Amino acid sequence: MPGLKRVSPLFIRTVAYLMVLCLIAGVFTWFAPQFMTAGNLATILRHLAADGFAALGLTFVIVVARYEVSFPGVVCFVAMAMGFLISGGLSLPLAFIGGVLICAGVGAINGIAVSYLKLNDMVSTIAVGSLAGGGAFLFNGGQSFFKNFVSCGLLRLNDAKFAGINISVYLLIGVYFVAWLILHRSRFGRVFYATGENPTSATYSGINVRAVTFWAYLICSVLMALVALMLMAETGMANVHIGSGCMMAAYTGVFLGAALFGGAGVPATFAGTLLIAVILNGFNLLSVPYYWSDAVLGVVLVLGIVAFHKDGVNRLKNVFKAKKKAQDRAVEISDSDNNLRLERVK
Amino acid sequence: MNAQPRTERFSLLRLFFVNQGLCIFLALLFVAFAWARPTMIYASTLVTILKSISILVLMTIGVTWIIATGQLDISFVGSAAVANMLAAWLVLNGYGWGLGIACGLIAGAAIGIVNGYLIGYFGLSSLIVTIATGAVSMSVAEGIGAGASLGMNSAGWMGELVSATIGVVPIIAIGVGAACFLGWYSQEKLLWGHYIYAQELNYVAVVEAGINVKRLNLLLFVFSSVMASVAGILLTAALSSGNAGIMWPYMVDGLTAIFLGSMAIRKGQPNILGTIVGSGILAVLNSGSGLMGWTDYQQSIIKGALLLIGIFLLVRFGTERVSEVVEA
Repeated sequence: MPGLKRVSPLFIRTVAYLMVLCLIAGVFTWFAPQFMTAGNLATILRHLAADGFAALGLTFVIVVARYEVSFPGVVCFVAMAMGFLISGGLSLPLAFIGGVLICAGVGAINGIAVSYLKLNDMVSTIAVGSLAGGGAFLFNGGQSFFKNFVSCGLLRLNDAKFAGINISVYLLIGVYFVAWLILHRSRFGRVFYATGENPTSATYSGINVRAVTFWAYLICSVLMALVALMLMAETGMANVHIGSGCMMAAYTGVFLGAALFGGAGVPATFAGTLLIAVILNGFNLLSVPYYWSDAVLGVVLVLGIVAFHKDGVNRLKNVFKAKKKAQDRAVEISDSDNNLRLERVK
Repeated sequence: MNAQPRTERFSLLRLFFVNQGLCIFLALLFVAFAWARPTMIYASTLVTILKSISILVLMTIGVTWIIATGQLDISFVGSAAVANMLAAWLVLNGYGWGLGIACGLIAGAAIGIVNGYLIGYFGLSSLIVTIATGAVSMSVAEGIGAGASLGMNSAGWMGELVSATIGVVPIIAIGVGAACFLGWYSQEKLLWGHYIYAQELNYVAVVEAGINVKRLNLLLFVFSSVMASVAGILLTAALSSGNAGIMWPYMVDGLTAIFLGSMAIRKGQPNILGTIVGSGILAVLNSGSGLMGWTDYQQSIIKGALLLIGIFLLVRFGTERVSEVVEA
């Protein structure tokens, strides 16, 4: 509608998201009054850290329209590697640098396999994840590391507070801000979106699509060092299954955020991950057994996508009138990228 | 990729390697394990291998077609887990195998219907939807047993059926083999089998041709989920227990079998014969490494390495299509 000033859809989505967040918080406070206490809100933010970094890493790969399933294995491997280094007496920063280097190596393998060797992304990341997950056992024969964890200051990452908020939250926000600058406010970042949108067009626009895909996998893996660090700080040890829970949380965070804000991106991922953390915390307070948490995430994911879909109402009608629709003459085809409408003549 | 093969002979050799490479690899793997551990060719081991191939094929037969359409289904593990636990729970509580099997299959069909409607009719991404439904059904499966497994004293007549063999061939392998033949026939010879592969090439063109793709996708997702739940129920009977956790390895094994198989026979396209060969490789690998006394993590490293080397070699020496296996 030209000439008419319209409210930006992003604004509507943001308001809707905040309303959903408040509604959920309200419901939880109703049933579990301890939800709205400062202590619990701090707990939510603290738990956000590990899943938040995992989702942020995955965002880069999703933006270039690829898949990555190796990261839970990579987190296990790098956590064990860092645990090995710390137990061996290395200082925390040095161990972390070691972890980052290992992650960069794994990310480079993923990136080379997918972009330069043109291997299928799903298969090669399954393979790398399997290698890394198995490799995690090599450090200590499957036993956990916890020696020197307290003395090296690792646990302070989880416990120390500044102005009443855990320092892990500042770290999370800082890294998200840098990622936002890179992905949304730099030439380098926009290239990721161009690649994901249409690799052929991107190539003709002078973008080195292979290099971009490589960087996406590299950045994703490097962030897994932070995930491992946060998980180790939270649990006070490194074990071989430490990262196995982050797959579901990361995928839900990225895709829920993308559904809420109409596309994968750094702020969207943050919003998605925060919503999930709030919901999981609430169900935890209601003492719902642990094995229902994935069900909650799954239901939230589907509901979020359906409710925030830009064409949601029409498509829901589609679903419920499926039989009648089959006889209709007009068939609506929707591509995930561009809504393409075609008229089918009977 | 390569413009011209150097000689005709080389090209034929290459074609042979690409087409039969996976079967040759399966044979070599089996011979290597049999050489290292002669127990590999004992009848009991062969029965075990055939059984695990059957179950893996049941889990992946529907997923193979879904991946062939250019979509993804990772909720099959969840369907198997729900059917597995539901059947075990019903049998444990005295409702008998008949109701257990019926409810397991209905649960599987229900998951497939949810997938099919959300993906086919609502138009959501198949990966996202099946991640969600897979997670929900996995949780429900664990919820049935309240987080623990459900052990049965005996698996009744289903247990006998699953363990029954003719020679070294288990009865269930014969059933699965027949199902595979029907599947292969409809995939290769019937019209709707062509729709599956046509869809991956150009979805819009298939719709324009007047094919009800939405309904086809719904049917595929229901088929995939029901087949996986059959596998889940068979596992309940085979192990005389319901255990949701044992399904996780089938996720990686299943996808590996499909993608490895997609590099054989119909190059670059997931297909039933390929999935059977891929399942064979994984079953031989699992049984063989069990006999060798390799631990889980060693198996995980070996599988990962094999998978990576396998696809690398096949993409290097394969045709152009191999490199673009399902840009899902």
